[in-house]
Amino acid sequence: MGPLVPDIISNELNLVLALVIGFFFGFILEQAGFSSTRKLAGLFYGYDFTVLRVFFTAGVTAMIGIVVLAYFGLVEWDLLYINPTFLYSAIIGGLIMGVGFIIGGYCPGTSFAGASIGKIDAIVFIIGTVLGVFIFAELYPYFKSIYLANNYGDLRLDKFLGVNPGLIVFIFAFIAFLAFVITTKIEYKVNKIDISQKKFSQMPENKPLLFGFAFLAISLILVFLPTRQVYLNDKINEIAESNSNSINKISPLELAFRIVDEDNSLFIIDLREKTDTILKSIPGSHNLPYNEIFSKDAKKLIQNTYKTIVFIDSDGRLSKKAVVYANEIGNHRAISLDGGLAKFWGQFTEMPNYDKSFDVYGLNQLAYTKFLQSAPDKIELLRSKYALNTQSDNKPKKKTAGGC
Amino acid sequence: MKQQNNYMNSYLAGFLLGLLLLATFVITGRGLGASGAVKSAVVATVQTVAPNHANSNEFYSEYTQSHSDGLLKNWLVFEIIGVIVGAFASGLISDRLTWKVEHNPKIKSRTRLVAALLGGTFFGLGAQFGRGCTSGAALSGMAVLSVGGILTMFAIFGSAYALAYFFRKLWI
Repeated sequence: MGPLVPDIISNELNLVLALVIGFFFGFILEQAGFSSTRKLAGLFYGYDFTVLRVFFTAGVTAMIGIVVLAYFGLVEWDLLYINPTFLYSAIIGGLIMGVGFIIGGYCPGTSFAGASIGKIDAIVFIIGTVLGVFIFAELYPYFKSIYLANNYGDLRLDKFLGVNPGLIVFIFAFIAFLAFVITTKIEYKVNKIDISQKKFSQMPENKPLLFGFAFLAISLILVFLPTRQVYLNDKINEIAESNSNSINKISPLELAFRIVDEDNSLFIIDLREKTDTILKSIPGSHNLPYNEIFSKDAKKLIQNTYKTIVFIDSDGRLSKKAVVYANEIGNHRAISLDGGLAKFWGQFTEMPNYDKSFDVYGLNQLAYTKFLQSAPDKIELLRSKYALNTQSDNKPKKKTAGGC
Repeated sequence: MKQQNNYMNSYLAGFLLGLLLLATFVITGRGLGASGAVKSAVVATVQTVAPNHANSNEFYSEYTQSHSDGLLKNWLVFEIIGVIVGAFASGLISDRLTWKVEHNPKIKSRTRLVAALLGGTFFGLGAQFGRGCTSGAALSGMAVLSVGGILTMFAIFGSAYALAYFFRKLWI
């Protein structure tokens, strides 16, 4: 489902939403006290840790939300803007920004909040920001090599460490929680407020530490949740292996009939890797390797097509799983080619055995044998007709641009 | 001025900010930001004032090419306009609207203004290297577990803490 831009929400509406989102952003920053450098700078001198509390609470809240929504398939990691990691540039930029923070007292977002309520120093800070960007732009040729060095792309910490994203969230929630407890104590000490008479839980500012506990609890659960993909895979494997009766299938013979008949109601998807050409595919089929059926575009295709999807692979195992997946995402008409391409092509070479089920098509043994003898040629004829269609019709994903 | 310190509880503010950030990711696929709007404005200004110069500089020309819709028809520019209105509304209802140079009483307001200008300059410069500022790189980056964003976050706070002692007279 998510993100909603650009498929559900147009880019124009997105700009209107930017105004609305910005409104709340500015409103919250100002309400939190971020329009005042006295409050912001408190973080670095121990007298006011508001910044740390707001920042970490916001970060962990959003993190938990994204990991949970991604788990339920409501938002797709692949389509989110993950800030690219240019190793040196990221660290150097951070260090320079830290200098700006301790001297200027604001950061760009908070300076806009401060300027809005009349802080002249915030307006001057913004002028400084403009100058800073200008200096970078003018000196870009000198900075370019370091700016572009060591690009790791949209590297995520969980992937980098090879762990479940839930574990990362848990670690951050844990650090945040510890930081909340410790900094509150420091704050009282620096401000020389006697807390020896009060219990920690009685301090009004600490009651929302329940948030901290809730975060820890939720993220602890996340640690043990398999990722969405793993969960789906397990479910698919379980159903595909256990009760195969619920999986719609088509016999090789029926498929052969319908192909020769040029049945347009079928949409045949070849799940094999593009390089796998040991068995010839079926004319008019669309190549979509099994791993790619989970992508957003493939999912949409499977959910929305009015045709009957026939999944094929070499032996009928992946196609069964693909049918379970299609059922799982709402397409209950998808069918699997029973026995795969091996059985499909095999039926033309093996000695036909008469089977009662052929009576369904009103065939007798002779017609059946005749059909099997002539079918391969007819199918080959179709192959040239459909030649243009057999390429993969995957479109590249539309990814949102972002960043500063 | 009577309610000057009547700020929202910081955990509640953080929670709301987190929900907003989450909603922003779900709706738009990207996070919040701030310095990017300044960047758009700078590039747009240079394009208008000195188009030849802008075309000869890779930074401006690349940015202009990647924003073919128009430099100011940019998500972050609209977002920042929203920020200004939202913060103003908040200041209005909490009775905090007033023109002033806020500073440590121990320093002159001129010192504060010079520091603000200098600090802003460093921040603007650093945000280009960091590909975002505290909101765009650190907060939004952290939310999507971006290694770069998390590194930038630690670098910002680490360097500010490391230098806090030297600039203490500005603040305490």
